[in-house]
Amino acid sequence: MQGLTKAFKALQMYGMNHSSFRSFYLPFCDKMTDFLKKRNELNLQIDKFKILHENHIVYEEREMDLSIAFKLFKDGIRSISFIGGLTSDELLLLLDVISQPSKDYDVALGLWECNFSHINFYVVEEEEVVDYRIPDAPVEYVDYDEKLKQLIMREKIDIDAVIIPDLKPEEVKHLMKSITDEEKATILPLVVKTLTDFLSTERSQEVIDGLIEILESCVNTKDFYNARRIAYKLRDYPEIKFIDRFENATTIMGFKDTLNVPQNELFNEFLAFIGFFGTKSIPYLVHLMPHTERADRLTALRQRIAYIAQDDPAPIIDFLKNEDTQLMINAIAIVGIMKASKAVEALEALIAHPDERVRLAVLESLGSLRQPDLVVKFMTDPSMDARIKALRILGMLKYPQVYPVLLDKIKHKSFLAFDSTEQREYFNYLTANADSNLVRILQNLLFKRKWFGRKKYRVIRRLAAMALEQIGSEESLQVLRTGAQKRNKDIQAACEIALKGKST
Amino acid sequence: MTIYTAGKTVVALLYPLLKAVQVYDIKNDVVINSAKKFVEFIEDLFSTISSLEFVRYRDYIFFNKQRLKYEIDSYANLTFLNNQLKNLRIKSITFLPGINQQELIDFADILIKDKVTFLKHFVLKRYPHINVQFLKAHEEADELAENGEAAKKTYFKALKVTKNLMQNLWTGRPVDVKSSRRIVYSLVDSISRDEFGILALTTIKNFDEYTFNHSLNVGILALALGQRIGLDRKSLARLGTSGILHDIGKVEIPKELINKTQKLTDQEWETLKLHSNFGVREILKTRGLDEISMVAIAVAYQHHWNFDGTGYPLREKDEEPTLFARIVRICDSYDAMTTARAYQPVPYLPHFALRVIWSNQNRLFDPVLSKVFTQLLGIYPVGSCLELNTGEIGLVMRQNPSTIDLPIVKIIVDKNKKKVDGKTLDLGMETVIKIVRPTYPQIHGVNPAAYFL
Repeated sequence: MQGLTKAFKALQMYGMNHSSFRSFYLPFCDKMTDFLKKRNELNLQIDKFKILHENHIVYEEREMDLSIAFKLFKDGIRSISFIGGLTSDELLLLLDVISQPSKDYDVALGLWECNFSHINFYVVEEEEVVDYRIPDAPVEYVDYDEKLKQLIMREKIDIDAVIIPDLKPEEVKHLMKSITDEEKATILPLVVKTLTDFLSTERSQEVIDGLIEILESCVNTKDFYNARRIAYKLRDYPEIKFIDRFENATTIMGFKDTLNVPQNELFNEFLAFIGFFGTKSIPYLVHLMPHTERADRLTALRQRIAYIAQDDPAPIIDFLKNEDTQLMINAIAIVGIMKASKAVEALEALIAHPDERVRLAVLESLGSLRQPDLVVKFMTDPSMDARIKALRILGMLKYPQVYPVLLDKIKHKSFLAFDSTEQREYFNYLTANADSNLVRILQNLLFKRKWFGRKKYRVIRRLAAMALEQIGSEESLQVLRTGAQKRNKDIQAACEIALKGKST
Repeated sequence: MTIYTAGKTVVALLYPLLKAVQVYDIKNDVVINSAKKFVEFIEDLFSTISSLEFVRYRDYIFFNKQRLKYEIDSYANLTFLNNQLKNLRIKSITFLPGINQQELIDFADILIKDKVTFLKHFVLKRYPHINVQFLKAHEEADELAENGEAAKKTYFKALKVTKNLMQNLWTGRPVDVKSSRRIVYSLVDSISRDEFGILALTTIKNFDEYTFNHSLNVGILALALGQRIGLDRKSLARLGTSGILHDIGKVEIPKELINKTQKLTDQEWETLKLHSNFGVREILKTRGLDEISMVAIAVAYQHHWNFDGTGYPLREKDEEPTLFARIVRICDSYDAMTTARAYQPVPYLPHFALRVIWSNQNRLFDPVLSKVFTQLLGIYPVGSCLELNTGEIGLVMRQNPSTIDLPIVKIIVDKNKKKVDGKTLDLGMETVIKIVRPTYPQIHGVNPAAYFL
């Protein structure tokens, strides 16, 4: 009993997989096996707080939660016996059953389900039924033979047909598979389907309550597939605020692990489920976002929150003033996805934000919001990345107003000091916003005579040639063909490379 | 190889040997080959195990202390062995190293005989490598009495629990969930101890309180079928509960409609069909949402779904009923057909109801389960009354596992049409007495259920 007590306590404290539990459990198994080898049987009587062996108290614990005796006694178990052949697996199952923490758990049923071969237990019956009366059959005159004939006619069966109910091997196989499938299959999807089908025919408070109960359990166990199916159905009942219960910090921050699970399917089910959430959940969801490790998932989550906030961007806009840069960046991205014009003013205020990441996010969102006048302001941003991004956005937005300014910049000698990536972006912008004069301007840049700084200017020639190739008109290609014939090696090389790009 | 697998294989090899000696002479090649296979296999086992011991305890067979489960692929073998040991009052058989083919064949030959012949030969001839222990008289009597009494106790307690459950639902009173759960576990125990003992009690029908007895009977039939196909205890508990609760939705159907004796109108029929839906709600009211109730919900909802996709409530094209719903579908129909009700005052004879199920497999019922159900109940199910060529009426008390059309009957009416407490006959062993036809017990003024109490 000491061994059992120690193993029981260790199991309660550490769980089954802990080494401490095993260090108590294994000696207990050995002692039990040794005892049964000598005596073949061990009978224990269960009292409220005591366990007796041959009328001697071998165990006593009066603390209900800790008492093995009480756990067995409360569910009617009055004796338990172990017989020779007892295996360590059986003992482990026994310990597992008696250490179940729930007060509603029926230990007697738990032991019964274990179907032990070497542990017997006796449970007292609550009430005996001794009245074995059987009801009288209804008495009336019936011509039974005639009735049988009628039934045979009605059922249209051959009453004398030979019946051979032997199963073919493939039928046995099929049946075995059905059983395995049934044992493996989780019942939840089926019940959800049944309950939602029920609601399709009739509104029932019990069924709705049942679904909400399952929904809570699904959310707790992160079964977002079934949670989503339930939520989809319950949405038909707008008066039932079934999502409210999840729109709190504890529940939403509890989804942290789901953001980084390896299975995309689970993450996507989670995204689909939170689609049912309302504005109330937004602050918590925004706080959840920084826990996302993968960029693609962060983007997906931003899109989902944008969807949730689509009717009211105010809670997201509030985050544009947040001191936490990460939260602010996510909020900036979301207002961009939402195309929330109400956020433009707040975004404008962030154009000169000291953190480059913030400015880049603002720039992206201003692009989504089609605000070229504000995007232009980034042309003088201290960050090259921001300037390049601004050029790209302006190119996409087809914003020709900035065209002359950029041209002047290209012509200015300071342009030669720019990074090549930025230089290329200028030309990309020019081609994106090309007008009839552009071929002539590029031709001038390409063929310009340079007496000094020829080496540095080589880059401009190449970019101009590439831009001409990108325009791809007969006129621009003719310029390149002419350039390829020039004696100036730089011009010739720039044009040949561009033409080669065209041919490939 | 585990002890369990070894035990299963030994039984699987012993069964064809016993069947062979039943049919052929012991010098026949079939017998010799079966014995050879058996001996070869156990000789290998003796390299790791010192002896092979089969113990029969309350219809369970233990092999070297491991209980062999009745599974679909071992059911026939185990049942046969169990019945032989039971008939010969054998408690255990132990095979020892050194056993040869001839010793085994000789032993198999007497193992299929009756008790007297077995004892005579067993004492006369020595079997140096086979030990046999017999049940003591009190053990045997205790077992039979215990099984029968336990089955009755369980049945009537289950009936009371079922009745309370439904009545409480009708009246909106709280339901005792713990009792209803525990009773299913008792039913599972009862079924695994003695299948026919409790199956016989499903012949108890109640015209006035049809729903209670019907619900319980369906639960018991489903458990017996579930056990036959090898479901484990946990699954059996879920199946039994589902069987008992399958019609619980009827508490929401007006009683006048359920008890109506005339043909139902289309509208009334539509209302009655709603009981599958209502069952879902009632189970939710009763039990909350644990795994058992979830299974029961699915079964209550699907128990009128036919195998061919028809039935009610409507379902999507690719939706199939669960295994449990398919089991309950068969058991529900069988018990409903064999019970007198308001709109069916004369029930179907059990063997006739079984033929209806047989001829509707693939359409209404799962064909494989229909076959197993027929194996379970036999061509003449327990409780059937059979007219014999002697002019007597025999009541089917048990099935013969090896001859499903020749059951064990008790003579209850003699050839002068007088009710008697006659002898019990194994029609499988009778050469002269034959079945003429099944007959309605009412014609003879008997209630089959009374003979099982």
